[in-house]
Amino acid sequence: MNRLTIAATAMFFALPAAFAQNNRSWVASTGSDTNPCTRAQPCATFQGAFGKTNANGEIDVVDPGDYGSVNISTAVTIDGGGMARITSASPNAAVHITSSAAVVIRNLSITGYWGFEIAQFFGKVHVENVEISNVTLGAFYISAGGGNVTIQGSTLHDVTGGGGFGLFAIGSVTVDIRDTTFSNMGPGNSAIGASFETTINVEKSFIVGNSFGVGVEQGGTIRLSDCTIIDNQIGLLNVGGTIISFVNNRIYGNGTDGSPTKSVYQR
Amino acid sequence: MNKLIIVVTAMLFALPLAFGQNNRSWVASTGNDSNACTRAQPCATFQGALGKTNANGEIDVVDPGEYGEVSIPMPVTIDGGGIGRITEAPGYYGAVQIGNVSGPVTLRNLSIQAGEAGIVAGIVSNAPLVHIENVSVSSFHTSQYFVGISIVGGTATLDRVVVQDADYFGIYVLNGAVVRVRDSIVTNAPFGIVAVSSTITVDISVITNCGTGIDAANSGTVRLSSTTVTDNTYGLSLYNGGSIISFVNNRISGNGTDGSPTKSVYQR
Repeated sequence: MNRLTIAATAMFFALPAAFAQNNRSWVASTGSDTNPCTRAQPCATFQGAFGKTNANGEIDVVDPGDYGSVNISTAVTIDGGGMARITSASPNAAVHITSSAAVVIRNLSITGYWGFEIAQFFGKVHVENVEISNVTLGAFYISAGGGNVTIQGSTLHDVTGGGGFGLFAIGSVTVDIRDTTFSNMGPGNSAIGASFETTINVEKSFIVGNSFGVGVEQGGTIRLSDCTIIDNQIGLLNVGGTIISFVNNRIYGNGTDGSPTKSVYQR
Repeated sequence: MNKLIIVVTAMLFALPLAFGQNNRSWVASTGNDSNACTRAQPCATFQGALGKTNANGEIDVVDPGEYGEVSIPMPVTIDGGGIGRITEAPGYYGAVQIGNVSGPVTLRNLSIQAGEAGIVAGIVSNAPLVHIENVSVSSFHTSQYFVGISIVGGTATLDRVVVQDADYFGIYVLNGAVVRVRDSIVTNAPFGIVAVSSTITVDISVITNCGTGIDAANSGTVRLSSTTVTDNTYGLSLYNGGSIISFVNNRISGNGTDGSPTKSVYQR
């Protein structure tokens, strides 16, 4: 092989890594982040794949593996296919979202230090079928200006660190939670907490065995529908906020049950 | 290669096997328990992987397979990924036995099959804190006394659990345990869900085709919400000071004898 051929070949192989961006990227347990992240040549980490994925694209998983924490700054879907796991290391969240466009995270499990840090403005984040367990700091910290977050069909339990939190949201964001279980979420903290300017709607969810079930601070609102809130030290904790019940919740068997600030009948 | 290099190389390769403990271990159908239980070198059984996993670590599954009974002496997560299965061999007390460990134990995305005579239980826990999620436990009626899930003290959350064809109790809770069951099904057992001196909350679940659907015994309490109790010989049953609290949103009908809650608590 002469030098020219070698140079040409080198350029040929270099090109995909340098320029190719996929609408759908892939990661695999045997992948490498120097690959182009295609199905045939998958990458090793979500972060590596994110860098090679077009905005509004998707990252999928070939086989079970650990795919690492990811910082997300543009619209993307990450679908773990029930096979992907992320172990986050302090001080990072497993998924850190700053995108102001739509982000979808589904079908994966998270453990380690921290689940989601959502710090977007006017964005949308959709979390579906995610398992977060045995994390030190917390499951969700949402600090957003505008936008909304939905969490569906997820299981969250065992936030173990002192001062750890379950889901805490502050800022002008709306969070919709449905069909999700929260248990043992943070000693001395709320499983679901809404602070200044935040509204959280919780539907058909199971909030059991926490220090505090749902908590609101001044300017925060939580609406509860079809939820079971039992076996918490305090069921509903109100520090100057608003808790609206649709009179279809089971709030019972807590150390202190607490009361909604307002009842709105179904119709 | 001179001898020194060979020795150093041998040590290098020996180290992970000799000292390695994983925060995340792996099992595979082609694995071997003499491996390091990493993703690249997976083990063959949950028990083998457990011995190479740190406390509070996790064991995951590479591909569909049979990963064997496991006795759990420390806080850990075993995630079958929907492809991990445990079929019990004869002589085991339980397919999964969880000891009195110091932190949370999580079992999820697994199926457990009692395949042999003489088996006592699918899951038996003495631990302070257990989470069982998306787990299916079934028997082929080969054992006269098979119990699906037995929680002996402590706290447990059962989420999306299926217990079918148990030969004695479906979910059996005793010794002052506090258990929450959600989005689950118990079917075809002489006793569906039984609380003995313990508290069980059952939410959005179905208990059907049992001899006795729900039984609260020896001052045990069952709280029922959004649950369907039908087609049992006895729907709700009380024994020796048990109580059944209903949130007045249950379907208790079509049983030989429906039975009644001892107390109604209205939703709010």
